Amino acid sequence: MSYLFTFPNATTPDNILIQTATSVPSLIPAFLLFVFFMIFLGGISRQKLRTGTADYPMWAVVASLGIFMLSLIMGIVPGLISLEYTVIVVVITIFSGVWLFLDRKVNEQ
Amino acid sequence: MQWIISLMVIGLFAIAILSFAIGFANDNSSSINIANDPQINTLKIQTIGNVTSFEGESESTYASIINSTIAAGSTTTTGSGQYAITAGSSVGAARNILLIGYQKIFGTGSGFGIFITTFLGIIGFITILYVVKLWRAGLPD
Repeated sequence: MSYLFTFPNATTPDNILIQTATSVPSLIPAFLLFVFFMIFLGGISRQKLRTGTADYPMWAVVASLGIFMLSLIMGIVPGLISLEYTVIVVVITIFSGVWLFLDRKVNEQ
Repeated sequence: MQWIISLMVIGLFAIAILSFAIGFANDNSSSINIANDPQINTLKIQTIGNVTSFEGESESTYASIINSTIAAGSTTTTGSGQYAITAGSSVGAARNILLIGYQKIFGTGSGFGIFITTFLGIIGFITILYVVKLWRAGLPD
């Protein structure tokens, strides 16, 4: 029986995540995207339920800082995340900061 | 004024994020280090340069304010030197951040250059309006 992807070697589980990420290159970006939108949309919806309004730029910064730290930690292990994805995460974090600071007025916290 | 402050804080935020990422990678001997990306290195150096030039300009403006004198009987300000902190370096910092960021995600297309030029032109125009309103008619709305 042929499989679409090369199966990771489960007898040496230390590298099972790296082998899976090598077989499926979109695994790590999809995981980071999932974490970003879980924090972003979850935070917005809960804040809106509690206070009636939501601070979109603030939740974008919180979510992007979350995936920023995750991508830095994943960068320690070779083969888990590529330089391009790390740079894109850094850029998204800075863009969220740009959105936040341009959104603020002088009399706002 | 809030535009200039926002733009400068954006520059400081970008420097903090880039410095933290590079420092984290160096401290942990990471296999992935964004310092290996030449555009990111250039962005960091340019942003530090813009923020530093703003610091120098604000110091010289402050010196001009405290050295200025008001003659007896004068009621109007005859020059706008007190508001001479240019938005040039702060707008330049935001321009580099947005442009290089966009290029890292979407590639080096010319379409975004038109957008960013117009957008930062609007910011510069608003800044000039604020300066004129502040100078002529007190605090802006």
